Amino acid sequence: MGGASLVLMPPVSPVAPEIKQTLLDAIAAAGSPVPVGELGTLPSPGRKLPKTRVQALLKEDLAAGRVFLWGDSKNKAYWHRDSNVAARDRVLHIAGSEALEAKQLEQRAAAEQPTIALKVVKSARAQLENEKRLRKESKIIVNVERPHPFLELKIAELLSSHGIQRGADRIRELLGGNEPQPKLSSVEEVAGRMFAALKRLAFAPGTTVTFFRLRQEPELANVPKEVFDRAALLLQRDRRALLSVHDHAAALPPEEQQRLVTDGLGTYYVSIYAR
Amino acid sequence: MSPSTPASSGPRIPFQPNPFASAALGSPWSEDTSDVPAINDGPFQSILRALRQMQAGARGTSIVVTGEPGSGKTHLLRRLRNTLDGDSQHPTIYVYVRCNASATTLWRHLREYLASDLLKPAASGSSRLDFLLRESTGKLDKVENLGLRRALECLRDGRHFHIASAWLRGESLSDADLAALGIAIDTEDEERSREVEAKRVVDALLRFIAPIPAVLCFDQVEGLETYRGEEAGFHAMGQLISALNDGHDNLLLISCLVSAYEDMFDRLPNGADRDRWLQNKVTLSRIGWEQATQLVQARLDCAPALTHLRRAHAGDALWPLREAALQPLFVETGVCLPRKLIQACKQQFEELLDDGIPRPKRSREDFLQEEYARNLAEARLIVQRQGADKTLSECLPWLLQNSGLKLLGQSAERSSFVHSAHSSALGDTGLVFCIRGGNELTNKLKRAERHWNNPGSLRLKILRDASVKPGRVASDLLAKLKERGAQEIYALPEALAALQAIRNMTAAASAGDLVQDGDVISQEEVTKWALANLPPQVEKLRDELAGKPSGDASGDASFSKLSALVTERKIVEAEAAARELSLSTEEVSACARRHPLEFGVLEGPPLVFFQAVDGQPAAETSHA
Repeated sequence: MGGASLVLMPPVSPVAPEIKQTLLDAIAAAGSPVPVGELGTLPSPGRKLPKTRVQALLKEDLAAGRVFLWGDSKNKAYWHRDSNVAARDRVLHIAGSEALEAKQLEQRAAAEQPTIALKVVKSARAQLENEKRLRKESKIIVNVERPHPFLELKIAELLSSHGIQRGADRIRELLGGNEPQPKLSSVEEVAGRMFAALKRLAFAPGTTVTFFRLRQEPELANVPKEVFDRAALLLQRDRRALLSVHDHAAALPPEEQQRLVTDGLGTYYVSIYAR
Repeated sequence: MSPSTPASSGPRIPFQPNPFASAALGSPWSEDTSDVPAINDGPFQSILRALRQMQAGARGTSIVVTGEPGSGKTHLLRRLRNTLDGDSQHPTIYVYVRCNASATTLWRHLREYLASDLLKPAASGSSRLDFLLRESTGKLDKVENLGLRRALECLRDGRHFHIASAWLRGESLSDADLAALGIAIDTEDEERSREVEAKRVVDALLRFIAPIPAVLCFDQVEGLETYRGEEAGFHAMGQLISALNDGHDNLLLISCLVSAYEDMFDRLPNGADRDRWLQNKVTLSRIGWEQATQLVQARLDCAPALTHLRRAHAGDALWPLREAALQPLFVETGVCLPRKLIQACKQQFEELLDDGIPRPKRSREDFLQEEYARNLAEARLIVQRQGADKTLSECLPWLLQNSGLKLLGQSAERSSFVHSAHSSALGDTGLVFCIRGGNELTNKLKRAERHWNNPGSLRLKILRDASVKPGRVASDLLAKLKERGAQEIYALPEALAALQAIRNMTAAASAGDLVQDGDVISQEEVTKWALANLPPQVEKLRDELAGKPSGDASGDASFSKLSALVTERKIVEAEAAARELSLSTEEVSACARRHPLEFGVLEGPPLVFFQAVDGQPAAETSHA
């Protein structure tokens, strides 16, 4: 057996731990992916950081799923949202709004800002089909939970074959498509407020805060329960936070169940923590 | 074909113990599973930081550990124990307390666990208490609690080891044993005073340990809920943590709680207790794929029969398991609970052992029955060790609550003589636990006789051990109370053991630790099953507590005498029993046959009676 070998590591310039936190804060607050170059020139570090240094600083958080890589190999960017999750959302949203074939749907989803690599969108669509949340009908990709665009198309075709012409609005009315949908933006906005309150209230990063406690915060006190619940679930879906399951909620009296967050499918959550 | 040649359903492996068999760690003292330090390292480092601070001279603190069932709370406590064991530079006392106690028994519970862990032999062979006694010889004279001082002196000198250890754990001792230890016999010996005495002993023992730091780990704090919705246990725990925190500088208090009970802190009525309890908090998270791989690999590496085969598949870290079968656990959130992962691995491993042939699945009924049988054997020893009073305090609320009786809180008037009170359609009832004999029985009956002034508004039931023969004074008091309408109920040892077993199962279910093939069994399910399968002894107790008519043993004068004799001898000939009790053989025989739950009868000749310890009427089983 040979002797011990000495491996020389490249010299690493000392970086204060607060610089990493500055980078993470900037990523968490950003409305879109932040290019690596921009992160290196944030004013608060006080000096420019080379791209490789930024990447090295964020390596651990990237592996832990606290930040996510966007862009391509030449133009890397970081964001708090996972591009895989964002791709799933987009594909579902577009399929629930328009009757499109697979290729059109993928191109539309990939081109929306911030852009997502086409292969990521393709994989998201395939996965959603596996999960039976999307279905291919006569080449059209149908959102199983909101098949309205496909049905509109088919009803119009059926009526037309019998010589009947009806406007899109009337068909939509027939399908109940005009019923008010909770605004996605309001859920996202509440999720943002909830995340900020969570970070403020938690004992330390990554510790739980009960929904009962969060609800007492003035900025969340008047949020309707349905929106509050959807915001919490959105934070989990976006992989910014995790929700702790309440394993015997079904046995609780209704007034106590009201304190919890539910997905409407029988799962109740008692608390939330940042990832 | 070599054993490692892939079969159509997967690789073939030799038959061996499943390395994923244990998904829930029973106790941090167990040595059987591996550890991946990277999992929950953040929370663990927070605990270590607090410990290092204390070892450096800072005051101790309290840390609450929360996490979903199966996130690794008990595992974390075991890692802490291993770390402390390996640190010879900084001796630290480690105590593990599983909180399946109640509001009225918490200090006794802590005393039992503290003493048991101090008496446990360390790797060197001698116990932690031996080490303390060796290191602090001069301190023994300064121990103010005389009982504790005498017990520690005995242990130091190697005298009366077993009874001194039993006293330290808070077990009830005979007057002769107490005299041998040189400890005064407490003529009061009342339940409440035993709790106060336990607090005094715990305080004195912790002062004796100081300045050596001690880590008290309270696991499954949710187990303090004796029945669904009860909060008194949490309030008592808040008071206990507060008292320990205020009274001692060298304690690190760690409380593990499943997330579902986290909002109990929001409901604690005493803010000061909450602040002392919740000084720090860490949360155990689900694990990502990288850590999952390490966990699975660590378990597989612990399987000696796989070592050679895994070396041949060095490129596949999870061999013989299939990565693709585990990945779906991570699809939704990117993370998974360690226990859920281990369950999935367990199932996959079993399929490989069985050549892909699915095993017949055990029914839920069979699983619970097996769990109950295992718990019952353990419960019989627990009841014997800790005393029936503690079992009644911890387990009876569950039975009362689930028998349609409404538990009443304590009132100034009632608390002077009853241990528990409940209301039903028949009115309010107070229960007096009179399980032991001697002075304790006499004192309790005296108090009841003095304070029970209004039989019209509160009925009185006296729970007794049939095998304990009351003395002359106690017999007179019993007769007087019964004349005024009190009812005497016998709590059979087997009923107490059954209640303790059910309590242990419901506590495990609350903590999410009762798992069948990956399915977590809820407390509700256990309760439902237990109520549908109550052993006849418990049914009898329930009926008597609820005031339903049943075979009233209390009216049978020979029952108590025969019960005492059979409890002492375990097995006795009918003729010998009759002779000793000054009764006719026909009388004792008729008595034994009237009480099949208490006495087994072996048809003769000669006719023999034995103590019934099974769940079914013993007379029936003897004919089988």
